Amino acid sequence: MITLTIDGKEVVTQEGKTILEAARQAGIYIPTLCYHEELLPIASCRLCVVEVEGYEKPMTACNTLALAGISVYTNTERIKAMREEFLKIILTNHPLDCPQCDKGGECRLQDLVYEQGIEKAPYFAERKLDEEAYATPLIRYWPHRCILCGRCVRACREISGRRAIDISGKGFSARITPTESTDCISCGECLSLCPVGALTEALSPIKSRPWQSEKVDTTCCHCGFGCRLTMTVLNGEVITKVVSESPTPPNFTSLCVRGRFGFDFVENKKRLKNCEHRRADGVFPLSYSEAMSIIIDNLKRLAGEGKGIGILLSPRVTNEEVFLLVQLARQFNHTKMASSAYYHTGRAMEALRKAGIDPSYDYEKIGECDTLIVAGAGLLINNHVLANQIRKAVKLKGIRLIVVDPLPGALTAIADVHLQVNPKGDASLFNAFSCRLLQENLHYNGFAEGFGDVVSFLKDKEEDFKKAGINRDDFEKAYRLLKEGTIGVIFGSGITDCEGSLAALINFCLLRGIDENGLVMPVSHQANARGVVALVPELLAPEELINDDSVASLIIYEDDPFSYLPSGEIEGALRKKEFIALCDLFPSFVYPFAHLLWPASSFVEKEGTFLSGDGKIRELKKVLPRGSFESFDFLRELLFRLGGKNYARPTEVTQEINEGNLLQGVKRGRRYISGAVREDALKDGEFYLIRRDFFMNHHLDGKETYGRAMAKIGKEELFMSPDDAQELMIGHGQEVSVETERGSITLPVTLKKGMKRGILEIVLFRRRTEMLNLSTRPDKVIKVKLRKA
Amino acid sequence: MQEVIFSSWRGEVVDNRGLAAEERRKPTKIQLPSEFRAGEPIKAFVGWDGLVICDVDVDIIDLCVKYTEALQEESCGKCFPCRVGTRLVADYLKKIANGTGTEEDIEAIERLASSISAGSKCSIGQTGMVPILHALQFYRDSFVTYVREGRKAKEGTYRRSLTAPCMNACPSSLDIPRYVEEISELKFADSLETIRQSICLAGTLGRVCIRPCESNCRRANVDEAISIKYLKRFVADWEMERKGGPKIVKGPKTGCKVAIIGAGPAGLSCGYYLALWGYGVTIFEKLPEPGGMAAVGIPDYRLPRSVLRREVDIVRSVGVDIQYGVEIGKDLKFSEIRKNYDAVFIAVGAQGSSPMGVEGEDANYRGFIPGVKYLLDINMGKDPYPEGKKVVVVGGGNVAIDCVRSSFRIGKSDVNLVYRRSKAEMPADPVEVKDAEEEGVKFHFLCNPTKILAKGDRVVGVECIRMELGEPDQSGRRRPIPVPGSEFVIETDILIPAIGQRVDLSFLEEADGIKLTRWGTIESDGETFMTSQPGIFAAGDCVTGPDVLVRATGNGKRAAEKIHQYLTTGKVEASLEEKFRILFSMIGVYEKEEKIWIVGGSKRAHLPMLPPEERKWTFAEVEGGFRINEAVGEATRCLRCYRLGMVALGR
Repeated sequence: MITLTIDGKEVVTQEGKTILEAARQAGIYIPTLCYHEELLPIASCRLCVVEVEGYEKPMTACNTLALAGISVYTNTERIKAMREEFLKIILTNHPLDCPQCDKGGECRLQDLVYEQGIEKAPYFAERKLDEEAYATPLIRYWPHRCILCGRCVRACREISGRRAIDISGKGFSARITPTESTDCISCGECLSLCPVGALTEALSPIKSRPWQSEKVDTTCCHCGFGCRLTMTVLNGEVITKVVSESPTPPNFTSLCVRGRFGFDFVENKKRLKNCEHRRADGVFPLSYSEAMSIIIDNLKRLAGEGKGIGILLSPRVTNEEVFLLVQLARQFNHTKMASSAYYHTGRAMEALRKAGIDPSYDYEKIGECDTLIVAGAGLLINNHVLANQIRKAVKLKGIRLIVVDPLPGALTAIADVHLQVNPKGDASLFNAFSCRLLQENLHYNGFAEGFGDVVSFLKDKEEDFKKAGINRDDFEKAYRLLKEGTIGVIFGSGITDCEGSLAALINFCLLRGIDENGLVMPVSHQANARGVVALVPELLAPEELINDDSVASLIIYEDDPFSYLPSGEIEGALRKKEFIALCDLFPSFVYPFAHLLWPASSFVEKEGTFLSGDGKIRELKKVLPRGSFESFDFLRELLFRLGGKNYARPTEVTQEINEGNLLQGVKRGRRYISGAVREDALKDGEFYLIRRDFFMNHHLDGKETYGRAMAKIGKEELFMSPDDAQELMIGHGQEVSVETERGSITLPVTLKKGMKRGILEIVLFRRRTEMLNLSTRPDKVIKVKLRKA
Repeated sequence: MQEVIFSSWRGEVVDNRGLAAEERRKPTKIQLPSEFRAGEPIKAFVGWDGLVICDVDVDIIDLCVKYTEALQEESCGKCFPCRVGTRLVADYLKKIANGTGTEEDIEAIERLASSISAGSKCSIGQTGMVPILHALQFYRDSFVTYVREGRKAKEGTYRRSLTAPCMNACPSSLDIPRYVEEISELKFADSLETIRQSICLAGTLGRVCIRPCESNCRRANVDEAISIKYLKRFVADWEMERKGGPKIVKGPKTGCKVAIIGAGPAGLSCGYYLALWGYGVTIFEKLPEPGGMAAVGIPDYRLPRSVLRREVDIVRSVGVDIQYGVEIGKDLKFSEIRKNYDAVFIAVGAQGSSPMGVEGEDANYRGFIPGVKYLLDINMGKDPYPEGKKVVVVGGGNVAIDCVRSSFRIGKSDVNLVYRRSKAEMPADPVEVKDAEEEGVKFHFLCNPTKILAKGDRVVGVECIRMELGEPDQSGRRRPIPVPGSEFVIETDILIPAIGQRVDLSFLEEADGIKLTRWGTIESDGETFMTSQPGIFAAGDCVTGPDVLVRATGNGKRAAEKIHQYLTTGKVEASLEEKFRILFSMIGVYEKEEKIWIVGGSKRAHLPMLPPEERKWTFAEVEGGFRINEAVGEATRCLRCYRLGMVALGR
């Protein structure tokens, strides 16, 4: 710790902090414009100049180290005059757009001019700047408002790891332009950090001023990271925008395109408003009471006949709703519950539970690791903000990064090693690591059951990395990083897709003691996947439930199985069900199969909680009170009428969940788990097809794209290795047909550098049905043949 | 030298206006040549430390306008005072130059110029307004007169160039502030592309360059110099580790062919750029490996062969054809090459060993191995003298240090170095000397060999005499003088002279007509690199004598530019950039005593090194590279010292 003086006041701070950081710690105000806590200092605005005793010229506080014993002055006459002049220079040609600029009332420049008492902008210089398209259609760039602070360019690179924009031109004509690389992911980090109105959101038809609107914090309903969304609500009726500006975890200033721009689906005119009864002679609206009666009558009748009831619930509904559904299931004898949370989170949590590992950590713990392994998780679409956290740890702390993935992803550019395994080959790789640890006696000595078995299993597996398609140099490079220090493991559906890979990875974690001294974290694909898995006993895979003939009736709660299961496998079974009750926001693919429908509330109309990927409970607040009757009320009433407890409000349910510790796992002893390692080679002419973005929120991308932003930027893409393309004489953009015995899909191919040979990658979007029908199971990786169309 | 009417350069004001000839003073802080290029007298120089006026016929207002407009054109746009401020100042100045200025305009210029000077982020803004402020201070009457009379300024002829202390010191003229800034902004690929504008051996130079830039780094005036060299290594390794490569954009085929003799740094550089510009290039290399001294003279623990080979692969991928094992003079005659190619570039380097001048040197004793041959053998993978156990190396340069450190790595444990001066005068890189000390080399300073002792045909020892330091010689170092009667013997079985290298030009015949200098190097024009024969160019060690790698690469590229000029226009002449480089060197860009008013205290990032006991026995690279956060943190310390120099020229 060092001591310095600022404006006569003694300030104590850590070594390595800048003068600005020290001042802020001590509550001393130094005006800034380009500085942002999430970015490395830019020093472009020059407003934070301070005078230091003994130094003839002033210097910027944001990028000057605080040294012990220096005496800093932040507000001398000279500094005041300089700041005034700088602001006047900044205001040169700044257009008088305040009345119609989005940022009016929340603009840093406005604030500074007001605060410094600038009455006139005396300078003018002519400049002609054409408005050009920005890197994404979701954001508009206003070149005349832009003060070139440079925050957006830095944010794009430092925080999001992209290279979508840059400063071009020189001198007064410099402006921000999109770069050649088309790698904008519309995360809006630039928009979030722009201090003035040079970047504005381009889609919302209605805007509101800060004094007209209210800010309500809630949690995002798309992936499971748990981002806090600050909704700006006008008149309690309309959400005008979503921001993420305050420096609060877990996402700080970051959101992804869905969090930031994907909220307007809740206002789509196609929202289902009434309960509906589908009969042979048509579809008829009902009152809530009538609808409830029909449901109860049918369920009781079928239960009386000894037939089973199934509940298929979305992994994006609140813990409170899940709890009520579980209680509802308990009112009958033969009930089964399923959710798409099963596929990744369900499998991961089950395996971790067996191994005695509790995966609940602060995301901050990532920065405390020496080396991080990211396995089977691209982090480009889901959990983009998790990738941001990892990037931050690399940028600030220099943690080492090993990416294990057949495909290039969000983090491969900054990884120390990218182990490009064959799909489903991760088991061989981790077994090789484990074998080496044992051979070199570097394994963790904490007790875990089954050690003897695992030792004999791993014998002679030190060369197995070759089976995974990894060369020795890369393997040794990664192994060197894994031998020492604190390790963190983050894994996604690339691992859970294959039982053997999951077992090998978990055993590696146990052998290396990562669960005791590091971090083991499955990513969470859906907002409340972890909550569903924690609260629902004996959770099944959805296709098991649907294809179970003993289950005669289904309650489908905010889900559409057609968005992740091949229609060929479930259509028949759904048709055979005697009664299907559906609760949802929009007409989906499963909507025509439902006998009864009741309208759902969207996530902004609910009060409740989610359990996020880090094991923390995050709150949803009611942002838009809309209508008097809501899904929670419907479920509550239904449960009560069926003989369950009457919960007046969601908070009562929350309380009961907390008191029962229902979201916490039961701690048990560490034990090694087993999982078959399947050898899976490609035959001639075959490719692995990796299907990405399986678990997109079907409200954004299902039967229709109900969110305008996603509609604008989402697209299908089929990626292929340029070497494979060359050998097969396929050109970039050429139409190809991807085929299996079950089906085929034809679309143009995009050549992508870094793709491994023998692998195709497809991003699922509107043509989901065709792509899902290529297989019988919702596997992430399938084998296909490729043909020129 | 130029007669100066007025100078405000570097804090010294010399105002000879209105003075008689005998009263006029000469400025001591700056000296300008009378001409920039032939037929272009220098009328004024405007730059980062002030104004120098040499001719009454200079319009001060026009000078200021052009200079400020130039600043605006060079302004990167990343800070407000410079980006907007220089534009505002330029506009006001233009008003005055148009005869429509007002007195308020003059005040505005002064106010803005002060703000820009005090507030800009980098030296362009900080230094750019200095001459303007000086003009307002010392030539204010001119401004006032123009305003009051509505006089229009007279347009002059100007040339300008951007420089920085580090750039000016770099023999390859690398745009250092730019590539360092790109690293601080996480634009690693862009940084490497910037580097490749000037050199094609980033990974090599990032490991072995003698980095004159770092001794001209203004950050050293604040705390410690930027680790410019290792930052270059960082971006080169970044690309290499990600198995990437440059985006190659070649010019259209010119139809001309150029032959290059020698695939060392000069030859590779020349070939790379010529091939990029559309020429057919063939390099003839006598060894089976490319790289010249970089490959055979620099051991793998400093420069892994894989790094060099990869960079040579990139040179080949641009279209350069390298033919190995072809010795000009033996396998092919020089005259044949000359006939079959449109131009020839000689880049054979200096790989012969200079004699020590001691008794027994020519006796061909076993165990007497010239330094360059010693390293060549080791780098080819063989122990040059397995029977020998003890090593004595004579010399104080990098080759001598390479010899001693390599000796450990082939298993010799008793390694000694004999140098005639003291440690402080050793020309070797001090970091290398320290590493050698740590590894256990025994240094014997202030002694020099006089006789080689042999038994039969084998070396058994070397007789040395003690030295003491006398007066400095022309290199500035104190001359060593032998102390009479102080002879002593060092027993050894391996004796390695590494006191310097020689050029071997025996492949040239009398009939080829290539003139040599009296030191036995090729005579070539310092600015055009052409030898006494038109169309035959030369650069690198074969011209300068043994010199540093970065000068060879720099001159290799310059020679390529001249060859290109020769083949397209038939003429060769020094470029504007090169003229400015010479001018700026004369004026001096880095000022060691400059006080920079920034609180220092940040430390220079260092590379992790393997511990001495572990590394001395292995040829694995002893230094690791920077991590991302270290590289970015180090690059952020750079002050971006760009500054603009402009000359006003007469006919």
